[in-house]
Amino acid sequence: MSMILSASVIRVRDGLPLSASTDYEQSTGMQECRKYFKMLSRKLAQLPDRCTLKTGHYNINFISSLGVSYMMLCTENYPNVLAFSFLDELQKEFITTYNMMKTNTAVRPYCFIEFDNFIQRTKQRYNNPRSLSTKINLSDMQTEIKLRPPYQISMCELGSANGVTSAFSVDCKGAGKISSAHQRLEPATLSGIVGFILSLLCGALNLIRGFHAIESLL
Amino acid sequence: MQVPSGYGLHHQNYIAPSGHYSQGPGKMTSLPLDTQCGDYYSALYTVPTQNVTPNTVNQQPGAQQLYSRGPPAPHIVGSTLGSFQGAASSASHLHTSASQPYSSFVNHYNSPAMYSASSSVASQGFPSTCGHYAMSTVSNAAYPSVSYPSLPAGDTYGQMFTSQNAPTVRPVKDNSFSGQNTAISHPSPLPPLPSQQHHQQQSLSGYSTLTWSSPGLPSTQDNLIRNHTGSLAVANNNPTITVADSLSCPVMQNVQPPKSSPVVSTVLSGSSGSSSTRTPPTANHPVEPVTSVTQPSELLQQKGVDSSSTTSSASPMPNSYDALEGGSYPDMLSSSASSPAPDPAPEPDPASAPAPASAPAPVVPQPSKMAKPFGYGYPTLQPGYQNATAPLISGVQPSNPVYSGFQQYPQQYPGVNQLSSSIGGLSLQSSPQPESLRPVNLTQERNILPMTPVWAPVPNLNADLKKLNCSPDSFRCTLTNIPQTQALLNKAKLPLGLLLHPFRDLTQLPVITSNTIVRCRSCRTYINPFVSFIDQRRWKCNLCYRVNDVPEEFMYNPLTRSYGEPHKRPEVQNSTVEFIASSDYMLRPPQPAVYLFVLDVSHNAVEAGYLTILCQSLLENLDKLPGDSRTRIGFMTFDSTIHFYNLQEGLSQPQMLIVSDIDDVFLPTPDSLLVNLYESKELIKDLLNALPNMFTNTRETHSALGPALQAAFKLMSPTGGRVSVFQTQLPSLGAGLLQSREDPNQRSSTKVVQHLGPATDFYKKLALDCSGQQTAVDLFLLSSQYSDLASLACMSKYSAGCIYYYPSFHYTHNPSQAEKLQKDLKRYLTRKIGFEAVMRIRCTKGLSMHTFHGNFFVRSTDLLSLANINPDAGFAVQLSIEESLTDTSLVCFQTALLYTSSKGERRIRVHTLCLPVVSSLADVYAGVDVQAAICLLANMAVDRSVSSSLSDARDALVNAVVDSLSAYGSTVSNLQHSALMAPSSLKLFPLYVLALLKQKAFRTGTSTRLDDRVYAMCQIKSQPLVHLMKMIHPNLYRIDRLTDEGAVHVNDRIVPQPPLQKLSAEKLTREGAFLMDCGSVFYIWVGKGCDNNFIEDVLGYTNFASIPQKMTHLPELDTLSSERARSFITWLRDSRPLSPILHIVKDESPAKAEFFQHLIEDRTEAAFSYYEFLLHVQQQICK
Repeated sequence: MSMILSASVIRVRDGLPLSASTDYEQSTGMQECRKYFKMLSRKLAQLPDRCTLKTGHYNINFISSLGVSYMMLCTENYPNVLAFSFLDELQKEFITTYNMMKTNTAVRPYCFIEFDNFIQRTKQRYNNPRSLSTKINLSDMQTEIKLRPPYQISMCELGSANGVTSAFSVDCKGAGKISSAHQRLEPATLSGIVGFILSLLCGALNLIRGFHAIESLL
Repeated sequence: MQVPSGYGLHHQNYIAPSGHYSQGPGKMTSLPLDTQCGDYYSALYTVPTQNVTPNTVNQQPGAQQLYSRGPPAPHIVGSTLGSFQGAASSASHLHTSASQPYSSFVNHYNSPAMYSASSSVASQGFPSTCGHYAMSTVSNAAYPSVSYPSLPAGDTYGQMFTSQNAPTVRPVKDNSFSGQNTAISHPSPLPPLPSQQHHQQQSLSGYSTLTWSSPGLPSTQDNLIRNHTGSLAVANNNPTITVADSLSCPVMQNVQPPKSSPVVSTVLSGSSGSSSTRTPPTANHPVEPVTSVTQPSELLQQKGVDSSSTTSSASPMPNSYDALEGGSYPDMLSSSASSPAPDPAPEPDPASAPAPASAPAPVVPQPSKMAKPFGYGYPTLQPGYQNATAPLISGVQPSNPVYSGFQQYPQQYPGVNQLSSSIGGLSLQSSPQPESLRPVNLTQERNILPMTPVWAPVPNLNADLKKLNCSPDSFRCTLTNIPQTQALLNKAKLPLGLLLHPFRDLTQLPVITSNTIVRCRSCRTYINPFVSFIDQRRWKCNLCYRVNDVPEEFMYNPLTRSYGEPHKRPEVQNSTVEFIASSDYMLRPPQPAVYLFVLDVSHNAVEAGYLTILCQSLLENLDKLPGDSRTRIGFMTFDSTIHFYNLQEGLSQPQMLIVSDIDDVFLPTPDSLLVNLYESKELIKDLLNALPNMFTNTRETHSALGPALQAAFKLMSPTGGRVSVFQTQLPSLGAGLLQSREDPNQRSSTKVVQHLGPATDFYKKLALDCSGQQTAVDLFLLSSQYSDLASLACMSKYSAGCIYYYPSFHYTHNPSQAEKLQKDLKRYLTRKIGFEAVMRIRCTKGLSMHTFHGNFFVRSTDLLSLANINPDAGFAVQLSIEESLTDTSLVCFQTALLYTSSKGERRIRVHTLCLPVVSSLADVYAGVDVQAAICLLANMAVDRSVSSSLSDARDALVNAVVDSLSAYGSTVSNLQHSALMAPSSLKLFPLYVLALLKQKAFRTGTSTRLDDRVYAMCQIKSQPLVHLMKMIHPNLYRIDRLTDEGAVHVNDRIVPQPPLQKLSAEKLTREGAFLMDCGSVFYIWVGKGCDNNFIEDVLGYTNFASIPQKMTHLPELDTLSSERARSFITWLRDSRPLSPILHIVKDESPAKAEFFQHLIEDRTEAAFSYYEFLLHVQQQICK
């Protein structure tokens, strides 16, 4: 069975969740995938504006525009075209409902949780192909995706990126954790070593000088 | 040139304005440090770690080796400090030190290399002073890690708030506080005495004091404290502030790059408070606010349980039986077991009781404590016990102006010379006592109940802390002076515990929105008013004493729009705050408000007619249901089958779907049973209008409650929310069916009351499943016959629901119950609600919590899972003292309630309570909060009744009084044993225990239906203290002569304040009318000879005879006395969430028995009067 399972709206700048769907279907596999939402949301800024992540039985697709990213989780056999057209619809509605100012100044997570109502409705429509096919024109989306296919994020990229990118990513909560601290260490460069030795030397010299100064005072 | 070359990525962040750091020593020299230079600096330049042992404090002067005290294991560093320290513990790291400030002080220190111990923290590069790193690396080989800080634990309490510390810069904490405590507990008009005591105490505890060297100073402070002058804090402010300022050499931990995005921080005060947005000046400060929360522990716990809790059927509540008997009162068991009872029966058997009960005089000591069951057949007393000859023993000096109010007593009682001798004896032990310690001779004091309501005692803290402390309405402790050791607590024989009302409706609540919620890194305590700021950059946790960094964002105060005053932030100025949580505190997007109503529509239910009231109430309050545009609602009805209602938007009318397979319940359509309230409003209204008449002709008498609940669980499990179950009879079909267990003949038995526990674990298991899916089940039981509430209540108890019980409900035959249901529903439907909540209570290291009371599921040792939280829920916690609290003078308790509001905001409400620690038994007694103690005892007794037996619980209650009073008697050594003495703080204790014994939950001998009893127990467990106290001990007022004397003004109304009367028929006169406030019900008793004016003006009838038997309203009459009476009753009503019903009881009407059973000071055929109870207690003590 192919269907859209979950959707979420995230601010690109800092990964702040703005809205999300309330999920009525529950399975452990899906719970797993929701974790990728969080992972992805941390580094949206580094990713292209249309991406797909394949995680076993589920796919995650997302688009970003105007500082807001729209993410959805669907089963792996759900058509790409429909998925992106779903995201397109979310985007259009979100932009018209909430202005940029609001989304940029939001502090609280899930400020726009009431957008869930729209997500639910749209999700239902897309999960019911009979009612859907007549209402939207898929050919435009089809050509667009053919011309500019979504960037495929690989799992390893997701994993290793955790360490490397967090050093210059905007606000990575996980970076405070000790585990990731190790990953961020890079081997000392030559200039670093030289500089360190020099500073040691200077320090020692200063120290000696200090002693001499004291002695001369006494 | 960067020093830690391993950190090439971060180097650009360390270019710090070095002037900022070097100004530390410059200012320090200006401080009035003459002798303590050395140890002062040692306090400054050390690293924040945990486990500060204050004992080291006094060794400091000149003790340089403190810097190099045993290098701790590297993993400690990694776990307690930030990411940078984590890196520091890796082998490749090079340690450096921010020790350049020392360069100007080299002459103070012989070996500068020693300072490198603090290296791993402050390794930020200081380009201009790189020379200093050389010396630090020298010693890094020897000291690869962090040194212990030599700052004493919690000393900012001293610095900030106590005047004792003014002369020293860095106070020795223990000294100052032991001094303070003695000062408070022994306020003396004679200056030399307290100072001697201080010295004694200090020398006893082994501290070499710096602070107290001059004897004159403490005495003046004594006077200050005793008089509660506001100048306390002023005296010390200036030195402390300089200290804080001078400590500006920051120890930096975090190597995060500065945020590129503006940190937005907003604080809302109240609902419409001012909000502000700002960008902190990050440029000057290379340290980014520490991301204090990465994985909140609540969240972790939640994760762990989501998968496992559903199958858990283990008892989530530790058995408090042991705690009641074995823990707090250890010798109670032994005394009862080994008592040489003449009666061979080991159990308190009432049948065998009359033999000892027929003893000729009440003063004859009974041979055994246990041989005689309490509350049965006690001999009568002499009516006029004023003329008893026991002299009044009291520590009151007649000349002492403080106690001038009690001078009348010596005149009344002749033993004045004995009195003076006892004063001499007392003053040896402790000089004049505070009011709460004044010994009261209970058998002599005729009017023990004060005229005004009893308020919570104020903890004995200094004025600053007092002002900041949590409101007693939300947070109370049974002992406002915490004993130092468990041994002392055992000696006092008093229960130690907390009473909580965490989600109380508040009129003013600071709501804080900020990116970082500042919490202790090791114990996760939220920052609160009782933490100490070591300097501007660090704060010390008041629960675990770890030193934490103050995040950059916290430096800015959005309320005052000032920078650099972390101690003025609202979090630090209010002990009750609410945080808007970040997404770290969420496992999933905040759930919408979801309400499901599960309604009994069997013949019995239709006959009772509750559907009309419920549907009407729902229709009226549909728009007021808390929630946002996502709110969902659903309905189910059941008799022998289960009916679902499809309310999907677009249908022309509600569709009823019947599932008759109750053995394997399924949902007929999964997604249209719970519908959006706003999208389907018309359909919902149609259904509510139709429901009351849909089943009028039903012949179905069975009730398949269990399967209906299973279906409700299935329906709710994806989202969680609230299930409201309306049940009118015993469930008789399917899973969870119950049989009648009550034997009506046993209702008034004094023997064992059976069936207080559940008959099946079906409801408990279901509740635990629900709790795991964030669903709470609220039970409305409206039944006329026995419905086994003991079993049914489990569905709410473990899912954090609430229970309402309307015995003999009928919409026409019992209008007062119908009205009560209507009013309760209005409150129930519209009150605040929190979803998917967890609550954690933390307390200062050394204390531990062991038993929780209330409706919840204990998910881990200290995490309470609350699927829903409502403003009317109260909780209780029992505490024990695991480690001695000798090295602290204050303990704190913090409750954090994390919940999703109905608007989809994740919020954390934090309450913090601070209490002093005392070391003497007298101080423990001085600080007893008798109401809190009674409520905790009541909770313990409920557990005891269920786990053991009712008579055990009753004995334990009596023994609680006996033990505490005899323990008190032994502290006041020279008292005659013929007098029953209690400290003033405990004087109401016997009265309240007697009230508990006569409460529906615990009474014996009076006919009590099992469901009524169980409901009373449920209420004891889940009601907050204020409401529970009225249930236990009602308030009685005389209302036929209300005057405006002492009246208060509330909302332009004048509310008279009649004095409280004691609960005895002695106070009732036939000429009067009395109002009794029992919490959920009001009685107005009208005497036979009541003034006709009152009857006419207030009740609206011409004379006594014409008052109807059933009257539940006061008419609105345009007379002064009517206005006064009504405004008084309205005022009482407004103070509680559930509107009580009013019964007007005529003297000589059959209903008066209801009224008279609440007169607990009087003797009934089955129970003691108050005086008899006192004699009984006294007898037990004398044994």
